[in-house]
This record gives sequence, C-alpha cells and structure tokens, in this order.
Amino acid sequence: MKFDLKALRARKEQVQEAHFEYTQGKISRRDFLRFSSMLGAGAMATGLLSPLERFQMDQAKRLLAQDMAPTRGGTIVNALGIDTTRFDDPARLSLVFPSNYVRQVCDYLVRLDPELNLQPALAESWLPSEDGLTWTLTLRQGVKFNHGKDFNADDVVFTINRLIDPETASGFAGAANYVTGAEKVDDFTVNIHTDRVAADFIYSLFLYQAAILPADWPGDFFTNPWGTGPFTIEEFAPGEYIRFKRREDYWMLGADGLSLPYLDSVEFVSYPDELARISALQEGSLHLAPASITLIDQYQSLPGYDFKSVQTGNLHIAIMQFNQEPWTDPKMREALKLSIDRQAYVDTLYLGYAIQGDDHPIAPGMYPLAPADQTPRQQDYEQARALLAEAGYPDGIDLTALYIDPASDGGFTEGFALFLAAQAEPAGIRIALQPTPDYWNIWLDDWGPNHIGVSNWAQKNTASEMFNLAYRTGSVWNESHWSNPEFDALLEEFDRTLDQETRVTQLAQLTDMLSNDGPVIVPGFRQDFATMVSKLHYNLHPQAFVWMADAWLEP
Amino acid sequence: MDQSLEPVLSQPVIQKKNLWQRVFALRRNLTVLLGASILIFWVIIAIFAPSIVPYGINEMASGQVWKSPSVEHPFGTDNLGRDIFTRVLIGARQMVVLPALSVSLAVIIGTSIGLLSGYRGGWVDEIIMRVMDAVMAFPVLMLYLMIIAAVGASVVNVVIAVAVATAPAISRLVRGLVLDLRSREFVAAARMRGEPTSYILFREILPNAINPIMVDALVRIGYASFSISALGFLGLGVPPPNPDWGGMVSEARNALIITPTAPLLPALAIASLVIGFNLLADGLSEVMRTER
Repeated sequence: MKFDLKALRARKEQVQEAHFEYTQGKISRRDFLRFSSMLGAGAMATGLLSPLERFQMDQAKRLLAQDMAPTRGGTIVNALGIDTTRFDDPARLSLVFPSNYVRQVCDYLVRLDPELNLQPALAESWLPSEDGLTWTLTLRQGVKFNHGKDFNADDVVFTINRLIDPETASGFAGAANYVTGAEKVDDFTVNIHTDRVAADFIYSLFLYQAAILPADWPGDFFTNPWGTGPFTIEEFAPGEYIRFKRREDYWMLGADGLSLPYLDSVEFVSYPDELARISALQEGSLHLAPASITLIDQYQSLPGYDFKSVQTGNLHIAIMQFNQEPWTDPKMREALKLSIDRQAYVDTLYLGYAIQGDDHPIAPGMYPLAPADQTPRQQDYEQARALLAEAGYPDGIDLTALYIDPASDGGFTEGFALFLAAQAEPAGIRIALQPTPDYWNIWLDDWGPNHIGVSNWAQKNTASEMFNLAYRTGSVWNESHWSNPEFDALLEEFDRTLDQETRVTQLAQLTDMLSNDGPVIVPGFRQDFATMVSKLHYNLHPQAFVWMADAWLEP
Repeated sequence: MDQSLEPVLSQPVIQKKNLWQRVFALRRNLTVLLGASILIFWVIIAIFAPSIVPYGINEMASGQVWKSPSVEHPFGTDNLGRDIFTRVLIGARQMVVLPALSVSLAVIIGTSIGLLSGYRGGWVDEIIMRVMDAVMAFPVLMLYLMIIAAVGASVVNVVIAVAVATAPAISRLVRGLVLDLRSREFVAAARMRGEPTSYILFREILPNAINPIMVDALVRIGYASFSISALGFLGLGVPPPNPDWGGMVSEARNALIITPTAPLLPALAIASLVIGFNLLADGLSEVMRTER
C-alpha cells in the first residue's frame, strides 16, 4: 500500500504517546480521545490533510486500536456489505455480499486479512510437492462444527470434491479449473491435486464458494447453517435482516486468550436507501453502514461516528472491443487512453480518496507480487489528436458508450461515463451516453463499431485470477475480446512459475502489455467508505468482506 | 375542467377584433399577465442560456461536490462538481420545448380522433371511445413507464410517450365539442351545400372548437412539464449528459440534508413552469368567458 511510513510512524507515535499518558492517568480519557480524533477525524473535517495523510491517520488509528485491550460483549447493527437474499448453496455464490453471511457461520481453509496478507485458518500450513502438482495441507485440530461434529480431513475432501463436481455448478470450478480432486492422507492431512502447476493455488481456497462445510451437510444453507465459524444464525428474515449470535467454542482466540468473537451478537439489516441509513445513524439504531464519499461532510458531522475508508483494488473500466472498429487500430486505443487525466478522476469522483490507474486492472499494492507504486500515463490531448489524425480521423470521432443504467446501480457507473465523455471531448473523441438496462445481458456480445462499454470490476484475490477471467484469449468474461498470443503465453508461464522473484518480473511484463497495448481504460482504484460508531473497533476489508469475529465495542 | 369550458361553446365565435388587438387586450387580465411573464422569462432563458452560463453542462470542478451557492457557483454544485446554475438554465431549453412539442402532437392526434368519433357517432364512436377509456384507465405514470420501458429512453420517445398518454383526454374533450356543434345550423347548411366531410370537420366545426382546445392544451402543457420531470426523476427521461430538471432533483435527493438548494432549485424551476402554464390557461378561459 502506498503511504509514507515515516509520516505514519510520527503520527502513530503522537497518538501512542497520548495513549501512554492516558494509561498513566496523566490525561483524561476524554482528552485522549479528543487528541486522537483531532489528529484523525477532527483534522479531516477541516480539510487540512491530504487524502494520503487521511489514509495514514486511519492506519495510525488502526494501529492504536491494536494497542488497546479489546473488551467483550455488545451488539452491533450493521448495514455494510449486505444483501439479504436467500440462497441454497454457498458453493454457488457469485456475489460478495451474500458471501458475507457465510463468513460469519463458516471458515475457509485460509483467509486474506484486511491488509491482504494470507493467514492460515482451517489449514495451518500448506506445501507443494516437488513437481508442483500436489498441495499438502495440514489441518487445524480441535475445531468443532456448530452442529457438534468434529472438523477433520473428511470435511475438506467433501467440500473440495463437491466444488469441482460439474453437478454443483460452482464458480470455483471455473476460477480454479486446475484443481482435479482432494484426497485424505490422515485425519488432519489432505492432498489436493492439480493438473498443472498453479502457483496461486492457495489463494483459490479463499474464493467466495470455498467455505468448508461438514461431510454430513444435507444441503440448503439457511435450514442447515452448519460451519466452524464464529457465529450462528439466530434469526433470518429474507429481504430484511439476519441476526447472528456468538458461538461459545470458536477455535480462534482473541487478544485476551479467550475464544472469539468479542461481540455477543451482530444484526445485518437491509437499508437500501442512503437517506434512511443516515436517519438511522442519527437516531443511533445503526452502528456500521456504507457511506457515499460525496456526503462526507454529512457523515463527518454525525456525533459519535467516524467516517472510515479503505483502499481497494475495485475499478471503473472503459472497454474498447478489440475486434471492432476503430479499436482494431492500436493508435485509437492509445488516443483514448491519452485523453484521460487520471488525477482528475481521483479528485473529481473520489475527492482524492483513490489512487491512479494505468489501464490494467492490477491495483498497485493491492495484489500479491504487484509493485507498491506505478506511474500512469499523463493526459496529452495534442498527441491524442495527432494519433486520431494518423488513424484516419482528423476531424475526431463519434462514439456511443453503453453502460449500466443508474436504475440498476444508483448512478455509480454513470458518474464515470460522464467523466469519460467530458475528458475525451477536447481530444476530438465525442462520446454519446447510452444507459443500458440490460447491460449484463449484452456485456459479452459484439457491440458493433464505434462503441465503448463502461462498467466496473471488483478486486480479485490474485492477478492470475483476474487475467484468466477477463484477459486470456477466449476466457469466460473476456468482455473486450482481447487476444494477444504473447500475453497468453506469458500468463501460462506466470501461472506455472513458483519462484517469487521471477513472478514479480512476469507480472510487471503482463501489466505493461495491457497498459501499452490493451483494450481497457482503468483510470484509478477507489477507496471504500463506511461510517461506524466511534466505540467500534472494526477494520474494513478492501474486498468488501465483512467478518465480525475480531470486531469489538468499547464499553 | 371540461365542464367549466362548456359555456364557451354555446355560440360560434364571432371575430370582432384582429388577433393582435385581442392578444394585446389580454394584458389587462392580471392572471394572464403573471402566467405569461413566467413563461416569457423561461423562453428568454432558454434562448440565451448558452451565452449566459458560466460553465459547460458536463464541466466538473475537481473536488467541489455538493457545494452550497457561492459567487463561483450561484446555485451550488452537484455530485460530480458540475455547476447547478448552468444545468438549470440549459435544462430550461428542453423544458420549454419538449412539453409543448408533446402536447402539440397529442392535440393533433386527440383532435383528429375526437373529430372523427364525434362527427361519425354510432359504432365508430363507441369503439374509439372505449379504446380511449381503456388508455385513460391506466395510471398515467404506469403508462409512461410501460411506453419508455418498451421503446427506450430518448428525447423522441419521451415526447411520444407523453403525447400518447395525453391524446385520449383531448379526444374526449373534442368529441364533446363536436357532438354539440354538429347539430348547429351552419353545419347543417354546409352539409346541404354538399361540402365533403373533411371540409365540414376542419373548416366548420374545428374553428369553432379551437378556443377551448387551446386553453385545455395550455393546462396540459403544464402537466406535461410535470410528467417529463417525473420521467427524469425516475431516470427514464432525456439521457445524460443533457441536464434534466427532474433528474437533477433525483440526483440531489440524498444531498437534501447538506445542500437543500441542490434539489430545491430545479424543483422550483419545474413548479414555476407548471404554475406559469396554469395561470395563463386560467386567465385565458376567464377572458374568453367575458369576451363572449
């Protein structure tokens, strides 16, 4: 992640010093909180800090939070990352929000923490075989499912083999199509076989669908919500709310050496309307909620709440279909790329709470092996116009942008489409906007000449996952119809290489190819925003995962 | 409203003064004056907007979202940092043109249907009027949604949708007028002269029904402004980046708590336009009643 460690440390020291004085009884709790909020939220409100500094302050507060001893008990009402629709089978999940229910009830073999570090979960360790085709997982002992069964290798074999069974129709089978089967070695050791070397295999165990279910699971998740996770479902009203209760015997321990979670219960409540959320926050009946950056002033003025953000690898994207005019000409792709001012994207759409993108989907600092920083291309209208002329459009070109209509996504994509049109116009690229209610029915079709698509993507666990979904020739979600044999070959090599240093170089080559020649415009990577009661200690996850096990509430 | 217009019909209009004298005489009616002033104000704005506005309609001021009115941005800014003053003024262009256009279309369709239905009578009248009843039985907004959902949102489609939804009511009004007029002596005389039906309809009946049709149309233009704004509010209006008052209210809804002016000013603009048309229509029907 991109931030100045030195400045961060300085601020952290200031806050820690105050914390020390507070613990020594030299300053009152109120003064301490005032001081830390002055460095954080207070300073933000005055607008004195740069977005980078605000981000650092969040980090500092997070570190500070880790210094404080968590307390137990309490209930949280949450509207963040939820979609209270019913589903039968976690293996068939395709959206992140419903997966957040599974996260409270079940565990995965591994997990990515909010800093995107891979952490052991039900698997304690993993090791590839000499030929790289078999992964041996050592499982955690002494774990119990919430219906009483002991967790062992049978459950992992059951879950993995069910995921790759074509009858299950799980997204896992597509995303991790190299997995051929799981085999029990002993009660707490499992071998997972792949048909080719897959360097990123271990990350696939944290795909939404890969929650570990017990071998005796009879199906229908909400009737049989069996898992090893930190909470159990107390009550579920589809479309309205779902209430989770703390489990007494969760395997993961908190800072105080006792079983997590710290909270007694968590309620996920559906508030589709932002105004309704704000009034619920005002009256104190909601503790944690997603927030729009454009209403930041409003959120920051809510007493007792903090506005928080987390850098993500989520992106807006403009797609220039590789097999359609005029995008068959690399000059035209470059011309449109050159007409975008990436800093303006960051400032206009996210008020600075975003980082610049360089026309490939791998956010710097947000993926394993990716560089911490990158220097995107600069806006250059003159050169864009020159390229247009060279490509045979001296008078500019008229394009139509297809995009997800505001009725489907609340105008989230339209904002970017408007921005794109405004940016491209001075270069002579005139973009007419066509909101498209059935965008998700046509997004993989040929759109015909002189079209672009405007859409958005969520961050993936690994670069390989992203490329194999949308950029390899003929891959399932290749919306740009891009096909580059050189890229395909390097991607295959990247997937097969186990040496980390080589992979870093390969990834840089892959992203360079996309950036220089590729069919997409990625102007930046946004932060996600939430507001939460100041007493709540909860780390936002860059991938919109909600996991309440280590959240705690000050008394 | 239809009933209140009835007395106007009881006699064929006699042209006492020329058109300009009549229009000029209207200034003495305060209601007409007020309504006309509001409308003339918006028409002037619509014509000169491009040379008045300080920014482009899609020009985004970096980081300036939901700002309250200031010297740089007299009406504040929206969620993308665009100048609301600019967008309200430019938005006036379509709000002055589109409702009038859709109602003109509706008047042509509705009048033709009403003339035919009223003059022919019998089973033709019966069938046409039952169809019109069926269309009118739909809640208007539902009808718009169905039409726009079927054909897609664009300037032309919005005009068509509003025209289709408005025409049946106009046809009912015209039919009522025709039923009264067709039994008059001058119609009977024309018929005896052997004039063709089209001559009787368009040269004898229509000129004598035109006043109530015009007044009715003015009121309907007001309602059409409202409908077009409602479509914009629902995201089914004129596609972006064209500023749409209804769409602006919808976008600014969430900002009500921080910058109340952002949704309020476009809403006021819509209201003033509707009120302008209604005042003008009220005043005109008043004048016509007294003129008689």
